[in-house]
Amino acid sequence: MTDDSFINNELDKFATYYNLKHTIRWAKNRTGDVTESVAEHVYGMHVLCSYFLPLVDPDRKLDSYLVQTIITWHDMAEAIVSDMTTKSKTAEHKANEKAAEVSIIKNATPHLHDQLAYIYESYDERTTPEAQFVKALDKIEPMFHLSFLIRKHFDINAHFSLQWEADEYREHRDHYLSPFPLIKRFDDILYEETKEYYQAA
Amino acid sequence: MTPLQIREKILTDDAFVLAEVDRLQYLYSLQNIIRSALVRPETVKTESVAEHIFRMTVLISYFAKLEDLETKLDMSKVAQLTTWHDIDEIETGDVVGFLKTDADRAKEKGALAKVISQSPELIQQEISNSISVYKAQQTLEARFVKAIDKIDPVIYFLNENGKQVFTISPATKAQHCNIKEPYFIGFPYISRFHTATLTIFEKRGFFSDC
Repeated sequence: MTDDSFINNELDKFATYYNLKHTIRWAKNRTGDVTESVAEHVYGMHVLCSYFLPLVDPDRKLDSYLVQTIITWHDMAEAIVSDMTTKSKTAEHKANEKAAEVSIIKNATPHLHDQLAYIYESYDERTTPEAQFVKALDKIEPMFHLSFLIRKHFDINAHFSLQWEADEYREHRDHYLSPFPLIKRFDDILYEETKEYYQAA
Repeated sequence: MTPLQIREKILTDDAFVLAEVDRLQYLYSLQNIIRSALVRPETVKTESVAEHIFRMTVLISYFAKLEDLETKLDMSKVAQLTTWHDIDEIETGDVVGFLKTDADRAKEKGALAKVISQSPELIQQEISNSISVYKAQQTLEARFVKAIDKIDPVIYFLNENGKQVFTISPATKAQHCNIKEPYFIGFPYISRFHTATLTIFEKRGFFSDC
């Protein structure tokens, strides 16, 4: 992990997995499409979990199934309130998200209630190491996605308005990534690769 | 309702199963939420393999409890199998199950070797083991994930968008059933979602032969 070119090679390999976001079922296609659904973001986090969990938790102290379950459910409120970039989120949006989580729990089949309540409480407050790890994955996954699009030669600026300045966004991610130096190493490389696509300062 | 009461309802009440399908489809709608303030304008909604995998992880939370498997299975292994089970499709693309030929299956083997060789060394073993276990279908974890893989399209397609997909890519009732039913054996609650919805698929004219 001390070698930038090693990490760059690893990123190429991840771009391979990210192709499943663009592999369409039932003999259909989405030619030229660069969009990403929240479900595809969740898939990306599951892939990253496979890679980073053994690195950040070599003694296997974390509950790996809990990690995987939090990943699946962490953004489910967006089925109600839709996706909103962190930068443009207001206190009202955050309150709506919280209310949506309550609604998700309430409307789920009863045998899921306790599990979902625990997931949202621990994830929102990051009270467990599992939740902290998932939050770090949530923050770095969009960087892997952007890197995937760049490596596949999509015209990023023709489609995206990345609302952050590169340094400002990096600072935001740092808050969640700093407890995980190996993930942070990837972020440093990804920052260099993607910074030209953000708004100028 | 207790899990026991929910199980009883699923086994005896078709209307309850259909209401559960609605609830699961609601959770599936996360794949219609597009990130970065973009839109995905489609007349007939498509699905990526990544979205199918996301849906399977939701179903695993749901059915593991119903089938009382959470304490019997290595659930972390189940999650790994789910993440990697379709990874060869990076090379082969998705092929509809009942249209798969021996040539397609041979291609899958070569594709898998290529995907593993191009993977980060750290997880090559995990992917390789996961696929071997999944394809062998000898463990309860692998059988459960396969059953989830087969029930997901049943739940996903039972709506107007699914009807349009069936119109574009026709399937007979036998094709729909034959590639699924063998994998539901031993999973009574998953199986009930198939039998309770089959009548609806027929009544609404999804199949090309009835």
